[in-house]
Amino acid sequence: MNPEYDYLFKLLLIGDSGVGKSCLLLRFADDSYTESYISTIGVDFKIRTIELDGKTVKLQIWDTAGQERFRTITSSYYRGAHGIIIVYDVTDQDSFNNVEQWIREVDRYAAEDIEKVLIGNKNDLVDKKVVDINQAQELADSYGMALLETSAKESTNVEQAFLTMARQIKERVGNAIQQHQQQQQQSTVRVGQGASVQPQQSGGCC
Amino acid sequence: MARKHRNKKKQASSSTAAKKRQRNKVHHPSDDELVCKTNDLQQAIERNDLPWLRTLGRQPGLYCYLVLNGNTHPRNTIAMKHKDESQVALDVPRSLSTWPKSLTGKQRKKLLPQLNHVIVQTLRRYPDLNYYQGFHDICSVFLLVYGNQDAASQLTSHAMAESLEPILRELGLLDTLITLEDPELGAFLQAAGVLPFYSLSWVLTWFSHDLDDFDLILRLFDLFLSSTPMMPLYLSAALVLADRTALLQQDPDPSALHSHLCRLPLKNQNDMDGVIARALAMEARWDPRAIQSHANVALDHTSVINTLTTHEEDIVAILALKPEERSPLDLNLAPSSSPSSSWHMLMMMGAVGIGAAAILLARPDLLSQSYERRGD
Repeated sequence: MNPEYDYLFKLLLIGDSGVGKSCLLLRFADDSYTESYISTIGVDFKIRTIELDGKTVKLQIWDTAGQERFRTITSSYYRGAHGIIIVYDVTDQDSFNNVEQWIREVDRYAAEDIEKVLIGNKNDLVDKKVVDINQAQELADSYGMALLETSAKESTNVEQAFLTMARQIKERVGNAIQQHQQQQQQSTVRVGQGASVQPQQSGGCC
Repeated sequence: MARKHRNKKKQASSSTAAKKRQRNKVHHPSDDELVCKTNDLQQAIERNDLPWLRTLGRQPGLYCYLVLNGNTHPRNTIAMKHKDESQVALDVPRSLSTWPKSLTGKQRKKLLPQLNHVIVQTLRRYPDLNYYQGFHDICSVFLLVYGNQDAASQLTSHAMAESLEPILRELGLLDTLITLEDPELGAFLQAAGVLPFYSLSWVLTWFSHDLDDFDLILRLFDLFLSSTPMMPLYLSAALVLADRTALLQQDPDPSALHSHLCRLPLKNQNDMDGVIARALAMEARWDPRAIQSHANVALDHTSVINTLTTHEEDIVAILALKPEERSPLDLNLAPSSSPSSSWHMLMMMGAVGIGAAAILLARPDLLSQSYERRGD
């Protein structure tokens, strides 16, 4: 077993451009926030290790470009993921309306029983909020997802959102992943890449 | 190349200041060099000598000299909206935040609406083309250098076709190029299964998204504007090859490698001249057709890489082609026995990859003055 952690979970942040995916990740991984963030082109990840029920869980969280033109690229990273966080902007109705389209992407490219969480970000912008929480909750319930409204800027609920995701994965598939990772010791642990590279991985995990 | 080495020797022996600069491996030209090169440039411009300009643009130590040659007169403002403007509105506020470092908040605030104008007017002029995230970085560089939004809005890029698929196919050549130069490193990366998407923003933004040294970004733009459209890919491969020792010591984990590779531009920021020299050498060794044949991946026969088209109208017509109207290059057609010779000749005769014929003329101090003026 790798001495650094008990579990390695790969998460993926998706959602329309400009909803705050990179800011959520920056807040969770580095506990910082910047108003002058740059657009994400392609994909990249950050790491944060957390303690969950006495276990050390390493989260490898992939951030993706939101523009539709990059879907071919970002979708190659879906299949190796254990959990997907779909983000919308509570001040942007279109970004919420597109959530179902993102869910269809997940259904198409990710492992069948992948864990999903819905996040409504920018919840600090109270005056500009247009997406009603009841409406969002209804959507989340219909797909069996947890919903959290967050503010990366004010660090509200961000920690909880990622922990919710991690806990869901751990409860549902943690044992299977741990066994799998033990079997795949040494250099063959490759949960971090898309299925096109390691088609067997996610099947063994989730 | 010979000229490049002479320049380096000259710089190293000229003064203490130059020696200090030499320690920092990015070649910053001395005042003498600037005067000398500015004279060369002005002569080349007066003679409208594109091959000479292209030669100058590929030499080290000649940075931030981009000026449009040709239509810099004001263009009519187009009112008809483009479908991608909402995405532009999201990216413009996220622009000009990492470079140039001397840019004040006030200056930036004044530049952002101009940047919006540059991008939006370019899109409205070519309604069949598509905006992509990253085009805002390219436009930012042009706006800063030209200081003229009309001049800067005369750009197109081959990433503006209906989908990014042609670019992704181009990135697919990267592994082949690396393997041709360094079979051991190529085999290592391919066995690890790392996808070539680490280089996406390098190619889409000419590295401007990944560097924070604005002088270096300008140096690279000189290189790309003075070279064929394949140069960003040669440079990407050269960057990976430059890191071979560190890469071969990495765990062959595709995620960790992806992350490591994404950071290579910043990591090599102080040794980019060496990387550029390697890219130029690779360009002479491997022409695009040879690379496509080795990779068994054919880019479209209409790709700017295969056509070297320089006419604005032709470029726009090609970019507007629908997927079904495109077809891959026939790789079975006999490649030239000496791959580099015909390619090299084409290169010298000269195509500029982007719609604008760009030339060099300005000094860094003038450049900074130009946006300071607008910031007043």
